[in-house]
Amino acid sequence: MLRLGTSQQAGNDPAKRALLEKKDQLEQKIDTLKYQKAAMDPQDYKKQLTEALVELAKVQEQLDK
Amino acid sequence: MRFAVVLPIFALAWAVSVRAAAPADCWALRKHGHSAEAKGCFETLTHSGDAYLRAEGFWGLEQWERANEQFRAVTQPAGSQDRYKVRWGMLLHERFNDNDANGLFREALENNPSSAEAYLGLATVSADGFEGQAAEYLAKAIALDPKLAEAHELMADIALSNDDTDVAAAEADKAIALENDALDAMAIHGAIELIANRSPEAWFAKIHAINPHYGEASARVGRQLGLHYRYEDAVTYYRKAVELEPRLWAAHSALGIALMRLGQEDEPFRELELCYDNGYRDKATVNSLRLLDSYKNFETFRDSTTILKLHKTEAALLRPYLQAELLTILATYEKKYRMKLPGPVQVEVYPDHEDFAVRTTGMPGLGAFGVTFGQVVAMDSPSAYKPGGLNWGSTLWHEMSHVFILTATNHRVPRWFTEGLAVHEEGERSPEWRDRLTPEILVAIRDKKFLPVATLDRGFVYPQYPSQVIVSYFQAGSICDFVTEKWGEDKLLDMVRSFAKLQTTSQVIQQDLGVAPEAFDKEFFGWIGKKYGAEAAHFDAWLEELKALVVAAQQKQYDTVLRQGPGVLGLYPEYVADANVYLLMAAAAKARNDDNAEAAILTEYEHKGGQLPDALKRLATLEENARKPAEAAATLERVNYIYPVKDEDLHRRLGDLLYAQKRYDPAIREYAACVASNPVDKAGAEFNLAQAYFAAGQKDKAEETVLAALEIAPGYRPAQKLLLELQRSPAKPD
Repeated sequence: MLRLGTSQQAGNDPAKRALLEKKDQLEQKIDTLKYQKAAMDPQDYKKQLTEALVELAKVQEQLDK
Repeated sequence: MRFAVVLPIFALAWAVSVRAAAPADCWALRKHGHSAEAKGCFETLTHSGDAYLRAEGFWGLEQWERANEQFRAVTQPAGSQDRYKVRWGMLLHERFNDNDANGLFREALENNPSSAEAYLGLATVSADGFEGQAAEYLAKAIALDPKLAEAHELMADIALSNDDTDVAAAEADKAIALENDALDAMAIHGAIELIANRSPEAWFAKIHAINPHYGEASARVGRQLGLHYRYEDAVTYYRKAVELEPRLWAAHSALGIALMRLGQEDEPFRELELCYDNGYRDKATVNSLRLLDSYKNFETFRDSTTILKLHKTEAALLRPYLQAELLTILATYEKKYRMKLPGPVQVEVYPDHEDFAVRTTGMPGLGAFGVTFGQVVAMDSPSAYKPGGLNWGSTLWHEMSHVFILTATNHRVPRWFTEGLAVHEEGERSPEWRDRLTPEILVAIRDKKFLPVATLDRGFVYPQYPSQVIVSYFQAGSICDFVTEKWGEDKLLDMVRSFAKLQTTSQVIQQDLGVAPEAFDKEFFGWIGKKYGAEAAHFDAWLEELKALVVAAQQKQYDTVLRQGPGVLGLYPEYVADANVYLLMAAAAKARNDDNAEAAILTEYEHKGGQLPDALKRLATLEENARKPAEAAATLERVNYIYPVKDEDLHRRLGDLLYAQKRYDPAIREYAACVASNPVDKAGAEFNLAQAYFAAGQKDKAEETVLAALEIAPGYRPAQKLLLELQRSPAKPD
């Protein structure tokens, strides 16, 4: 017998599934940005990273509801 | 020996040309500035059939290795003359090998205990290291050969370094009476004049009449000026030295080091590199070059009143503490001394003690934590020591006092007074920073080894017994405490002004305090006796009882430690160093699970100036457990002055305590220190800092910091929540 974790439960909810996908995308975007940091203009990096982190925080907030 | 023959120089040149040269003749030609003739003379020696003469010849031609080989050869046979070993020792000393030089002087003395030259050799090496035995060796040399002019010259030099001007002048006169070309004795006279703010020109005229290119005299004067805090004047004389004698590499090196003391880098590098390239590679030159090279690893922070030079590895951590303390010190001393500094003060902090030691090369007072050269302060970083070994706060207050007093007196202040005032200021800043009454000091009080105030300067440079320097610091600081207690702190300022007017210690005591120096001494010694006389008298008993207590602690006889500890403590409560009663009793109380007793004894330890970070952090824990967060924070803030490095936990704990007390600004400082300590949980440290910024209303910095936390850990929920809170909170009004 299994007890589902919250993320698995969320995965069953279509709205939350979309949020989870968005979360994955944002996390990937942040990873990519960090990987490219050395080659990027610092201002541009900061702007893109901030946007992504704020977005990710909002998505997480939605997921936590 | 080296300058033994004094003939009119024309006669000497003639004599050398018609007969076999003697080393003394060649050296005399060199001393009188006849370089070409001297060179010819030394060359003649190198063709001699006598290895000793060849050695002197190669030495004079600066062919050091060949000279060394010849000395080795001539001293090989059993029964070779002891003076060969002495001369070899002098060569090695000149070429920076004092260990072997000392060995040769001692071997010479084994063969011939009456060798005045060997004692002079030992004195020369000891004098370079500011060792008190130098004067003893010289006294022996002079007793064995009262006509040894060089011994009197060195005696004069040491006496002047020790601020004993009368003896310096008398010894210089003796040297001149023995040899009318005793140029170094004349230089000492010149230095005496300059130190007394008079013209040295009459003496330099005499020197230059004998040798117009004798740079060594100016270099010797430069060294004395440096020892008397006259750092810019020292540079002037080193410049004269190299101008007169461009190949005087020792003077080039001294010039480079003196310029470094003024905070310069480019010209010192050029001077020192010149020495190095010309084979002058003594420890001071090589280490100073190495230090200049290492400055690329330092960061410099400037504002209108301060220049802070910190090693890159600890700049982010230490800068906020040092800068804040420096500004507090400047404000305090400006008010107290009623003056402003003419320009920014430069503070250099060295995490490697060896780098700091380079800055004190050629200075007395080994074992110092800091040194001041006018507007430049160099000091050890706490990271240069094991935890508890250094209080950077008290060091900075001490050195900054020198900056003000040297400025106020235009660098004309006796050593005892500026050191005493600096020690006094440490205690004014915090009673816990008062100069330690160490066992050596207690013994000195018991044995009545304090010096009269008029001659106290002599206890600082060439100590007559091993602990005399620290005893003299304590005495000087206590004198300033005594003056404050009896006459008020303003009297100290009056004394500063009197010293600035070039008055002597005796005059200042008489005029500003209204007592004769002898009467002052009597009163001061009585005051010290009342304060510490009983402790001094019981010193031996304390030592025996402490030993017994340590044994009891080792045998885990905790009840014995707790029962007998207070009695031992009462005999000498200022003792907070190794195996002190406070920590023995604290450990015993801990073993008995008696938190209250442990906290009480650790609090006493703290108030007596105990500095072991682990003990203080333990006290903070006990204070936190007893719901005394303000006391716990105050205890950890003390640790910050002792060992703020390599301890992220200290800063996190203190940050949490301050944050909980809504003291957001110091909490920000501590959380920032935690971030700068490269913590394991860097995201958590950034988040704590962001929270503190947010609480302090610094929204922009809070956002920047929380983003730093999230960059490390994008899914860190508390940081995400804070970020959204920041995004949604109204903009801070401008």
